[in-house]
Amino acid sequence: MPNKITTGAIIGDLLKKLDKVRPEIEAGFIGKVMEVTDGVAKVSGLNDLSYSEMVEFANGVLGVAINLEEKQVGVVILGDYLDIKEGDIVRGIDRLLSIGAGEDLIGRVIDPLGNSLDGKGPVKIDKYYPIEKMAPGVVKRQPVSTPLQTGIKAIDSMIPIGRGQRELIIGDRGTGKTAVTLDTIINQKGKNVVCIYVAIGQKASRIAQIIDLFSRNGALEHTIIVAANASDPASMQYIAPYTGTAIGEYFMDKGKDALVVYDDLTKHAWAYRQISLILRRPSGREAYPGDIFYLHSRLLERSARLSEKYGGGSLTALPIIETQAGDMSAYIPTNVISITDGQIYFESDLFYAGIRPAINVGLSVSRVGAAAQIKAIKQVAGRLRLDLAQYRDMAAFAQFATDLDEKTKKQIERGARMIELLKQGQFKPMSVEEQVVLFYAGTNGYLDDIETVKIADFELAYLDYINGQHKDILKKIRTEEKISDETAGKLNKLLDSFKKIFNG
Amino acid sequence: MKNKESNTERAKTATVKSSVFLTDKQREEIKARLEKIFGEKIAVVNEIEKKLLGGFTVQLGDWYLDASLSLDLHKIKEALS
Repeated sequence: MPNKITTGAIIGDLLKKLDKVRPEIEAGFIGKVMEVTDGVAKVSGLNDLSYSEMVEFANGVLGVAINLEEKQVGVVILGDYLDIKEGDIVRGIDRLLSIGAGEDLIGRVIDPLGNSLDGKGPVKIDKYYPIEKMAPGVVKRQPVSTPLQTGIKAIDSMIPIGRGQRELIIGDRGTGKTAVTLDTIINQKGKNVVCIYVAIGQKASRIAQIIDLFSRNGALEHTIIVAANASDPASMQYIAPYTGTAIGEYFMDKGKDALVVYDDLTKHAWAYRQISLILRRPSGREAYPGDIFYLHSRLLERSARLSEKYGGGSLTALPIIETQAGDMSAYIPTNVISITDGQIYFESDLFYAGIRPAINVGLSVSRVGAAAQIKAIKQVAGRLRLDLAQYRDMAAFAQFATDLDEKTKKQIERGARMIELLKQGQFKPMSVEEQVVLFYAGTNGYLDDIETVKIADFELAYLDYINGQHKDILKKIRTEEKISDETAGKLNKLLDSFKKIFNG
Repeated sequence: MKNKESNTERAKTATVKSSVFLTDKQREEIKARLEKIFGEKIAVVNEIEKKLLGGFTVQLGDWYLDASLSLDLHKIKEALS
């Protein structure tokens, strides 16, 4: 019952809108649809069309021109192509494929064209960002030096990720790749990082689950979701990652830090392969088109850290690739490995053996590495890596109950405990200072006399103890970003007294 | 095949649609303007299309021009929605 709105106000509003209308003559070239195949239309005419320019079909559906030939144009249809008939008029709308970005996007679920999917109405747009864009040049960048804390012990200690880095997450299906990225997004709460989750070719039910997860863990306040699920046309799945990147660039250009997760790029490559084959582009290995490398390289190169002169913002990328039977040497995985600044390798064997996250620390690498870690964690992580490497060397012997010398036995025992320490449940990201005190205990031998099966209980009790009675140590580590001699001394005393409580 | 060829070349006949028949003077003016834009001889054919409500449209092969009243009304409708 809006009694406050007067007819005068309504008329005023209408007149204002009418003022904006300028009667203009429209002129230009039009095309006619010659052929419609799954998601791609061949259009005759349209002589003055540019590459990647948007077109509109007679029934209002949009498309983008990606094949300019002598007498026809190949148009990828961005929407339902079942209504488009041969002979339909097609018109260029003089606009490159772009997405409307703005602060209003945060907490929303959109499709790759910017239409809202969460039923909360249209998104308020601040600026239009082109979906395809050249990556920042060398002069515009600065080296990565600030950490992006994932909250996952195995990653933050040994495979650290920095803001502006591209780190590939690779592994078989069902090994926990998506879970790790979800935990990372949840952990960015209060850390001033805008997260963008791009779902490519996934089940709609899974996307709904993920949205529910974000809202229950308070992650929707800093996350944007771009969804092109499995039933969407291949064209939507093709542009979805670029949309996510364009939105990330909007925040990066404003001097902010952004994180974009592409889940996953394997399905993205499939969608592009489908489009290329329908366009009759020559196919190469595994029927992928010749520019499948460029498809991913131009996407991932746009993630960078800008120099202070350009705002100092950053865009971190976490692409996910699904391998078949652990084959990292297949075509698409090797392509993306050579593009990114490192990879985190997930193995099914580790997953089923109960080691979750199932990260193979030996094969995983972060090429940014220690530049993205605070000193505190560097002080404990070096030892941790060594312990695990030695354990891996001797792991085969651990299986046989052979007589081993003391040194080898110790290495195996230490390594087994470190592995227990690195196990982590889902949705339990850990702050960096908690990780530091935990690894300090492990690498300095305080766990050597505790049974391996009790390590998980020890971890819980220990962190409870510190959070309850010695929060000042955590605060000190967080502010100083290193373990000073004083802090080390305090930790030693703390651990001695805690162990008495735990064992007694 | 023949259809494709004639669509992509600029046909020399321009089809002008209007809601009422053009006067001879109007036809000559449109013909002169089109010949000036495209730089070649063009024949003008006039058709009636009541739906335009006013003004006219020109279709010359792939090229079109829309100066009709129905387009203006459409724009107003979009602006008010």
